[in-house]
Amino acid sequence: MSTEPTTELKQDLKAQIIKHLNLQDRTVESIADDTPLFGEGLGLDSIDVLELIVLMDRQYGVRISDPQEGRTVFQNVTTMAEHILAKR
Amino acid sequence: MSGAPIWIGAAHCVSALGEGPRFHLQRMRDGGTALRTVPGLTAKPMFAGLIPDELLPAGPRRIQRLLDRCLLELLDDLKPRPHERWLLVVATTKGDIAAMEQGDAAASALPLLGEHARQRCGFGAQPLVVSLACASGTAAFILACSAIEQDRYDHAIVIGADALSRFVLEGFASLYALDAVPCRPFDAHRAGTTLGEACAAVAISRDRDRIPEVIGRWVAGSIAHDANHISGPSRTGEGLLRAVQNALRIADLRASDIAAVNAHGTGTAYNDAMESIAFERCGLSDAPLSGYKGWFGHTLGAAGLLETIVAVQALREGTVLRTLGLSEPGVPGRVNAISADAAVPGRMLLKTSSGFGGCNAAVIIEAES
Amino acid sequence: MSILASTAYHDGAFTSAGVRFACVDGDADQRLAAAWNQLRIDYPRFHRADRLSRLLLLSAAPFFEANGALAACDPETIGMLLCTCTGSMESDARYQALLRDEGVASPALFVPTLPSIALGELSIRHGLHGSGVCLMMPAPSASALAPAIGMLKQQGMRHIVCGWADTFASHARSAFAAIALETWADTHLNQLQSLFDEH
Repeated sequence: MSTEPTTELKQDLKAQIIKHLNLQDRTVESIADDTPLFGEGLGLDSIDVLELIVLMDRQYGVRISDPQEGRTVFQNVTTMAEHILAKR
Repeated sequence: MSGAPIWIGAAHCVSALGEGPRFHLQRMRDGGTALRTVPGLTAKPMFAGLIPDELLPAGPRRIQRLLDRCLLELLDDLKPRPHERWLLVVATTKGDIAAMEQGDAAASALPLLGEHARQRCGFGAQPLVVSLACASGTAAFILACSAIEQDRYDHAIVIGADALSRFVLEGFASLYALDAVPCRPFDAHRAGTTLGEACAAVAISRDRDRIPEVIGRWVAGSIAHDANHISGPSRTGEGLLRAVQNALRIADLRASDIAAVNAHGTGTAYNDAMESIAFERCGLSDAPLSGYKGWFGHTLGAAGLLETIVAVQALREGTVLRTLGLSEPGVPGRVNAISADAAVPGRMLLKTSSGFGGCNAAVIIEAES
Repeated sequence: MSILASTAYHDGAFTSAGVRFACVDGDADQRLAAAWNQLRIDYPRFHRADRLSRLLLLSAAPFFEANGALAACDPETIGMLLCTCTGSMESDARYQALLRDEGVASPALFVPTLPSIALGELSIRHGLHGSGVCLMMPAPSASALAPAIGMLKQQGMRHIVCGWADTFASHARSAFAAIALETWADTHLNQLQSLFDEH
């Protein structure tokens, strides 16, 4: 298995994030692989971290037990995809 | 602020600890926590404060049984039964959410709990049902006392109730807001709250003779919002600071007049930190401070009333009870969180509650000797 | 005049300052979004909020626009009073459906399962640090609000955003008023009740 996340995985992740976090003003195209999910980028907050943990578990079968760990995993779409590949 | 004093009494409560203010006080002096792991309610068993079934009267809905437990006894105390010029105020966060869990959304509407209470009381006026997240009980108490101050009513019954549910337990778990052990308010190792269920009720009146066993006198209260974050409290304690300062201003009191502080004290990292910062900013660093959720859990809509009743009852006997679960204080603001019961000379209690949505409520009550 | 301004929303039709906007297409959420979008307010957080909060944000927005009834008022002394029957029932049902069907408790869906979350959203939107409370009642009743209005005045509020918001499934309605408390008296309650009854 390749350790480089595929474009498909990253596109899928973006679509899932938009859907599950209800980011109606966003499109898959408007999110770059390295757009920061927090702060200046998508502007997500602490509840969104917890929601992303739920998303990772439901959609990709990847469990994150500590919200603090979530902060490093959820830097951007690339870090999320890499985490999924590493844990699968 | 005008008129004759407003008296508070006929206090009733039921929680995982047991029934009645006196029994609560005795258990809290002599015994340990009533929080246990509750199997069967959630995917993973969690600690919670469950009321023993034999303490509740028979009835089809658990939330109604909780409410009836306190309301029927209170009405018994108030003979002759209340009628005109009585206001009924009910506090709840989730009412009969079990009905929603069972597929009947309409039956979960919160006004229905008010209607149930009104029928039990048998007096006509529409009850006021207050839902202000975890500050519901405290806010309901403020609203009832205010309505009497405004001379709209002579007397009021205030009752707060919430039952344990999978709905709320799993929700708090999803927020990582539940400790794996019984909650440890203001402790350095606190890791979340523990939920509980309870009902608590008081009667209030300008007519002292109408209230059996007066426990205290209403002084002032206020509500304020953080306007900061929807689920996390303000880092600077902005809303709580304003609620407390406004209550002090209305009462024409200074922070040094407060004999004891009964905090919200949930045991979550952010809440307790926020409270400590707000209390320090209010000039309340030296007042003995405690939070009671380590005994019976966070009882949501009942919490403000239940904790007020117990704290006033303790202060009547000249004591502030310890914070169960607190062994090593660890909050950023300078507060006098006590881990052993302490004697205090004063009678003026400050009780605060804070909740989701950034709401904060503060009441000041003078305990009656 | 103690009632400075009012707005109403009725399943797609939004009325403010005599101007009516109506959207008949789409579901309850799409209609609410259409009403919001015609106000041309840049506040992306609106679309992420729960339905009751969105209804309240929409209903109160005109009061805070430039030249709005509360635009020049000190936000420190603007209180909030919400009455509702269904409260957070729409959010409750969404959260419960996921919990029941998939055993998943969604934190984002859980937080708004309290009606007073809408007050939190409104306070964040307009920087309102003052007093506020949410009362649950079967139908909007101005007389039932009277003690709470008096309480907000007692606690130093000079203006309030006050009204009814109710939503569940395909239904969404509101009727809101911006009220000046300095001149407010119980004799004005019938005006407030008329506002509720009209909508």
